[in-house]
Amino acid sequence: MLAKVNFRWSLLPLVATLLFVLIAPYALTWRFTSGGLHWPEGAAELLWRSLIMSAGTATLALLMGILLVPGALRAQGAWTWALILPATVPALVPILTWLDLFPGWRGLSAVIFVQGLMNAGLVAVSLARALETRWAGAIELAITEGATPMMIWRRALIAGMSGELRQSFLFVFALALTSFSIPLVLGGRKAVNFEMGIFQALQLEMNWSTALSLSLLQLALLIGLVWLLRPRGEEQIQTRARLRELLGSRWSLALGLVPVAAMLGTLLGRAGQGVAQLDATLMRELPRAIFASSVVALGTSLLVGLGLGLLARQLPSERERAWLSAYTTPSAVLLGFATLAIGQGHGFEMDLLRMTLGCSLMFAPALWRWRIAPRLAEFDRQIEVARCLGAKDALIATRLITPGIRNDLAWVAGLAAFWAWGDFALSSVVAGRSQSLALLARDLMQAYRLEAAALCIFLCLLVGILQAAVTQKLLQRRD
Amino acid sequence: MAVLALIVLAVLILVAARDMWPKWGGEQSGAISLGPRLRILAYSSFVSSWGPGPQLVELFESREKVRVELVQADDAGVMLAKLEHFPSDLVIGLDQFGRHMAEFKPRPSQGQAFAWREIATEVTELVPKEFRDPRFIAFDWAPIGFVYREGELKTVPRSLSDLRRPEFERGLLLQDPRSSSPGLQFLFWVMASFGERDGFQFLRELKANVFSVTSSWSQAYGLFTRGEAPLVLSYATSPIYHALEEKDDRYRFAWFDEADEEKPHAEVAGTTETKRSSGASGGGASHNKAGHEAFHPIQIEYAAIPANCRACEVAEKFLQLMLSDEGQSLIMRHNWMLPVRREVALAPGQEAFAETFQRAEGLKTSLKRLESWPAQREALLKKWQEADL
Repeated sequence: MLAKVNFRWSLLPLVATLLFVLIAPYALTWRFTSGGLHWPEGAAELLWRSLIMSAGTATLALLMGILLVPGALRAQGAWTWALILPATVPALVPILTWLDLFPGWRGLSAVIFVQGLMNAGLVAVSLARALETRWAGAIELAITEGATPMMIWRRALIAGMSGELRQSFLFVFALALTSFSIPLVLGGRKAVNFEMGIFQALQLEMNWSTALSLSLLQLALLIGLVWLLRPRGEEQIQTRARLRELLGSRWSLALGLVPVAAMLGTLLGRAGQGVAQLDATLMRELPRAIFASSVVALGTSLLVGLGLGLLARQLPSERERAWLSAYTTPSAVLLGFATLAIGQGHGFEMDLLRMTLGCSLMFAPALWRWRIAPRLAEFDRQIEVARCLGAKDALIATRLITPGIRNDLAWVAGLAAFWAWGDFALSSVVAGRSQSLALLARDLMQAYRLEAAALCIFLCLLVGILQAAVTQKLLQRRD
Repeated sequence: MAVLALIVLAVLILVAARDMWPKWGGEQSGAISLGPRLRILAYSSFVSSWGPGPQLVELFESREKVRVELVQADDAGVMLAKLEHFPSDLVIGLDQFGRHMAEFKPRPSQGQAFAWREIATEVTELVPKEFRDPRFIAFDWAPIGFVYREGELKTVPRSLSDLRRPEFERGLLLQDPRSSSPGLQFLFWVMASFGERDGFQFLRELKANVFSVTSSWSQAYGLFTRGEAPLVLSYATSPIYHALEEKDDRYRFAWFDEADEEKPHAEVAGTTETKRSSGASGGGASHNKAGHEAFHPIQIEYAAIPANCRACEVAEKFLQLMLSDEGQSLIMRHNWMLPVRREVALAPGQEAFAETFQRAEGLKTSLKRLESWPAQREALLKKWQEADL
């Protein structure tokens, strides 16, 4: 017991640093407020609309995700990534696809539909992974003893995986709650959420107090939801088996790949036309932008991977994990301004540094909630046993947690790199010039060169995926 | 090990590319020294490689031997918040609404509004009288309305009322007034033309003809260039881009020369606008029964010097460059807006701009009408949101 206490005390500076990192974005934003917090008149309505949009999105994603689980079980390697891709691409890509396919369909239903479809593949992959990890052995046995696939789906997926379903719901809910571009473009006046409220408070009224208040309200809402939906003492069964042959379905996989195909089709068509708009200026700017984006992506992947790895090594308890899962950074604009407090001026290096720090802070909470926290839950029983046997926490962290979550860290680092390629919401606040490829795409759109912008977005996706794959490959465990 | 390898790789890339950084970061390579440094805060399309900013800066640095730091900001709100954090010597790109914010909105961290320097008369005198202001220097402008492609419309709309005609069903691309400057201008245009109550009614009736309301001008314009809808809310100067850069002459601006009849007194956000210009109208503008002339909203872009500037005189010199023949020409060709100085637009070789400029000049008589709009923005947007169109 004493050893454990000593161990925790020795890591106090690290914990303090982490706490500082989590609080800093809010604290730094405080500087811009004049009279403390200020609740906008329509805060209750904003809350209500946010809840409807987020709950609708999460429910649809869950329903679609359950349908796609057989496909996710069937998918291997790149196909798994393809299922996840719609949830990870910059918002502009699904927006462009939607406008291409259903240009007149806007409003709350459009927002829920787009966000639900985007996240369905991700939910399916998460559920399939959990199913393989926790229930594969039992399912194999049940099938051997004559259980029908319908019985298995009902018992294993619906009844036995309520924890995972809650986690997935929570994850998509949080994504929808903090989404900005899709409600702004497709939503109209009714599909508003907190991010839109923050945007309006800043852009229309320059009211930082309201913006910060809404950010804190959003954070409080997430905390409440996490506590409401967190898994409570569910038994973690550690089995590993392939369910591909038993329950996998090609049809379900094909269905899951429809959004990816639509997105790539739209983007390729536009990017092809963009080649004609390649001019000398763009050719000169492209190498710089690609270089800058790759540096930011590399830095972000390292910071996110290392940061979440260090956090995981603290062996956070279930309660601590829930708190961390509830955390979200303030909106991109607020976070951007908080990041501007670092250093002075707007040199190339300073811009890249701020973009890297900002992207890391922005992406880390979602990646923790999505991948690391659920993975750590799988080690609870082993940690308990190890502690009973007298193992120190340092030893558990080194021997059990670090190798155990290494591949997950590689995965989140890769995804952070990919997201960093597509960010322009935060970068446009932070950067003094359009340093990255995503910002270059925005410049091109403003300069009538819309197809060239599509080409840049396509490049963002392509190089982003490549860098994500390389990062993941380099960092993952080989055994 | 792999983490270490990645870190080492990152450091190696950064060190290897170190020599290229100043060039890539847009900073000077050393030929220019080193008097006062001028820091300019401008909107992103001005700063971008396709905008006029980089060329103006290059010209200015070579002439004045001053180092210029050009910093981008997305819109007026972000620009003013950035100004708070990075004190600058010159702010470029506030439109009428942004200017109002800059003049009257309290600073984010303080109770009072930003203070702006009164600019030397030798600079302000370069600006035509109708745009002139001692602190906010107009440097370009353009009417806003609808752009179409020749051959795609049976009849070209000649007034806002025409837009409701069934032949334009699902044919209009508009922009959200919360996030787009042309979108906001359109909302005021409708309210000023029909009055508030009838204006909202007009927007309800227009709904069937709207193909999409996008969050930004570029999204709407993207849908338009891909042929999704035949009419897009844009600038009168948009066709010039296609003609000069893409050698495509099909793009046209629909000049509205028929006045809308519906409302004798246009009320905008609770304010009754009773004073009407009845002077000569350009562009073939007509008047309705109440004596109202047809008009287009005009977007004017301003530059201003914060009162706490450090290189204040240098900033004024930069403004002089922006208003010079060379500067105005650069702005016109790279910002795709009309110059404020008539002689630049009408200079030989600028025929594409000259025609639009001459047509647009007639609209200057409606500038007075636009003056009250910015103060009413928040109130009107709230009503627009509540109207649930």
